[in-house]
Amino acid sequence: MGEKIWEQIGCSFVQHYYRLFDSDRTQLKSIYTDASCLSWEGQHFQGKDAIINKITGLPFQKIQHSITSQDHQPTFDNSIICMVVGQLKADDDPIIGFHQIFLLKNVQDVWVCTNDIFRLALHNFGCA
Amino acid sequence: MKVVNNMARDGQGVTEIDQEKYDADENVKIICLGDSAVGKSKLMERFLMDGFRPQQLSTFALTLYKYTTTVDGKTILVDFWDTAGQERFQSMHASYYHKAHACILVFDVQRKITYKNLSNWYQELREYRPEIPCIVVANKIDADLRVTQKGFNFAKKHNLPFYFVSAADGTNVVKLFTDAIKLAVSYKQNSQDFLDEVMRELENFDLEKPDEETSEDTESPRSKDEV
Repeated sequence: MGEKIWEQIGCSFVQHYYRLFDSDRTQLKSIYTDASCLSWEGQHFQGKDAIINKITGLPFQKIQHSITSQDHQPTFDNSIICMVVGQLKADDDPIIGFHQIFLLKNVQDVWVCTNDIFRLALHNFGCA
Repeated sequence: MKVVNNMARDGQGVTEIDQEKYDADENVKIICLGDSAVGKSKLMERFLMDGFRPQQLSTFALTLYKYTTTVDGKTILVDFWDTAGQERFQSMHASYYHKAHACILVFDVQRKITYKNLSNWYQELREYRPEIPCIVVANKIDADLRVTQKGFNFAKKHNLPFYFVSAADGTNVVKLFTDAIKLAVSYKQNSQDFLDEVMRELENFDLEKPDEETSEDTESPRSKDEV
């Protein structure tokens, strides 16, 4: 049993999150709270309604995430911070890499996501 | 930013996207814009067919299609820039527009929202490139040829050349891209002449048949109906 408790919780959260994202994004609402923050490609959203509107409003029908790696750490206030590196494919578009960070907090025996930061792994260049 | 640029330059395919080269006479950059899944990449692939050399610069926010042609006896190296699909997640970065010489703005005649969104794309384009020629393209006309009898007012309103095309059967695709290249080249030479010529020609233009296939006569006169 080498696996630490925060590893277990982090891994099962990550698995749960992308399974919902890929099958029915509307269900992700349950993991956020009204104080949760989302940074999506530099845009900021706060509260579960704003967050879920952003996520469900993204313009694709199908999406698939594939996780390349994930890392988890406990924080001093008993939260868990997770970093995910992976690839996604939206409809028929080319595969794009992404990074995502989650902060998980235990509120009344339920793990919720208080912070969520997402970026595509795409680089721009050459703009004088 | 210097560091980032240098790192980018050491990476894969990076000389291909060094935008300095677009200042040279023989290089033109043509960008494709429009909502996701309107068929931007399909149009490109249809046009390039055998000479098709796409470069999936997977860590960069674009797919590059290179094409060599001759305009007025001069060899022209064309880079067509297509997005990597990032427009679903974020707005386009300024570098996508940087030094572009022409723009192909595509919508899907089967999805009204993609036509509505043209004005957003056009507005963003004009913020970065106020002057470059922009061609408006109605794709997927093969699904229902009657759409070609509709007038799509957006192009007329902004006085832009307008083409009905089908990436699926090739209708008008070659004409669209050869005109786009000529417009890009003439923009580079500070000439308005070719645009005027295109606009005159499109006034009286009937739908061309698909490039490779001889289909039945599907041409229909354009009426002035609005959408």
